[in-house]
Amino acid sequence: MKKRSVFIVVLIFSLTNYAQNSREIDSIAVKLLDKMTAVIGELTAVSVDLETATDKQNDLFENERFLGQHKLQFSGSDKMTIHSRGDDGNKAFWYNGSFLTYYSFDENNYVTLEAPENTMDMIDSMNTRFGIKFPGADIFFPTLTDDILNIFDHLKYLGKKTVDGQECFHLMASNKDMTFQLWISNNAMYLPKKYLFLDKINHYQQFEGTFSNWDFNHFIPNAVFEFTPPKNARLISIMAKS
Amino acid sequence: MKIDNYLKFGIGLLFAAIMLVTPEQMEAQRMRHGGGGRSMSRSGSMSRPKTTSRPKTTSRATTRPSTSNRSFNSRNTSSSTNTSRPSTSNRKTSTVKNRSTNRSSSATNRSTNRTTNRSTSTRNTDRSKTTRNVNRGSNNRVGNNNINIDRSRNVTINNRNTYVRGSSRAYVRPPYRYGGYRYYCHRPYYYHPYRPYYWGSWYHPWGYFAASIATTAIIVSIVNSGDDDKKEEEEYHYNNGTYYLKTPEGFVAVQAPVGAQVPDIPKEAEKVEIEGSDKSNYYVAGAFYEENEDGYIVIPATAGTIVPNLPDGGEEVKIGDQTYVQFGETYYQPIQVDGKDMYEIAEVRPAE
Repeated sequence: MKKRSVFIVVLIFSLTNYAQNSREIDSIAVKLLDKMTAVIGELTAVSVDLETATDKQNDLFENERFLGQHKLQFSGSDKMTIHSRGDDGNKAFWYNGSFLTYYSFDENNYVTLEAPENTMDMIDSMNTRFGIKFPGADIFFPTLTDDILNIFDHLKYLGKKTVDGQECFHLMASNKDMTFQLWISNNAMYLPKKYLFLDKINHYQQFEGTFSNWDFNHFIPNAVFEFTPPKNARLISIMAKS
Repeated sequence: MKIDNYLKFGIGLLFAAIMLVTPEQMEAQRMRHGGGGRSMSRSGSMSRPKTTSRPKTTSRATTRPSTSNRSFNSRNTSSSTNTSRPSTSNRKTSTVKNRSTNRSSSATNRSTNRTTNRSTSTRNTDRSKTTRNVNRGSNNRVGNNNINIDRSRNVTINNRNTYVRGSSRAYVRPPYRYGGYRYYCHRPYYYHPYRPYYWGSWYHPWGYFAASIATTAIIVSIVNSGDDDKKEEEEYHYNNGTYYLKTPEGFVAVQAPVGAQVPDIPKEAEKVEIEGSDKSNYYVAGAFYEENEDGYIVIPATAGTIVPNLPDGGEEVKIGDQTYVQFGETYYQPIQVDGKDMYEIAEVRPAE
């Protein structure tokens, strides 16, 4: 009897351990992500507002939250502007398919760089080479679902939730280092409403963003994506990451 | 009999374990695939920590949503959008700085760097003595001194004279992290634009060319340079706070060579305190001095030193979200002290 108990305990422990280590991917969540990325993939022009809250370690080695408001505009596959203001400074990006300009309103200086001919490639390239951060950019990548499945061990649909009075599908992805949550609007467009990252290995810092005022497939003049240096603005150098 | 019971019990548990695996999990195994090798780190708000390597599997081709080529997130550039693009081929672009491999420079390896850097300060100097106009290249963005200096290429900072000694005081603030390096400062970043300071009529910015110099100029000796061969080749002259390197054409103002022993320094020199140290040095025209029995000796910058002004020859460099003023290997972080704009020398250390 004693041997049987030990055998049962060992088996249960093994099964529990197996369940903890195995991947759990909820097919409903995958379908929702696919639906959202499919809709985004059909948009030729997008204008959307994004409010972000970002934790950073301050002088007291505590997480300090920085709030920001961003206006994102994309047109075609090679035009983008982002205007950001908030606790992290007032800055903007202009991308016209050839050059990316990063301008700081607070410092009145700018960096202009030759960029890939495609918005998504440009975002990837600039982040890799210079660590330039584009708020909300991950959500717009056509491979979002693949990225999530590649990065996280668990993906689950958590049901319908309400964000800013809007019914949304709530998804959660997680691995041992990080948790990602996404709220997708429950309407005809299946557009992202809110995202939240929890960094488990860096003091549980949170990074969240809430989208609003989606406007898509409208005409945005090319001039919007051209940067004109303000008076006395200085073109400065930039340090590559490596 | 007993073994038979165990066998039955084991089979039962195995069946139960199989039942625990839901159809979704089984599907999940099929859906595992590589995500194109990108990380979810394009936004700071979404930066993810490094994940463990995951074996790539086949892509979920049947369920992958299609992306229109006209889409804003398509990775195929639309040709129609290119046709209306204005010509931008002449646009000025920023200089991309790569961190010097001599970053870890210290007194021990200065001599090895010296050979390659030795002559750079003179080679690119615009020596057209006939013109007194400002002769600035397209990339020049610094300074307004009306002198014959082509700042587009000249004033290549000799890194051996700009390396930074570490601070003796521990940093209590978290460093600024970028590109595998940590930038330590005692005071918080507070941006103010870089405006080269003009110390007086005697002051000549680096790169200034003179066919001849005042008779009061002296040839300076470099103490403990560790590079005697090159010292023979280079002849530094000093006149009232300005150092000149003798060239076949004349004299070029250069940064103060570390180890130069001079009898006096300009009266405009200020005492600068080093954070965390009871020592104080003298600072003028971008050079740091230590007083000794023979006068003053040029010393390398010490991290944590706060200076009120910077000379011409620096360059504003955006490092991540912050903008520093770079002189060779020295990075000055803009700060504010009692409401006054100043700079603190950052200590740059590679991240472990």
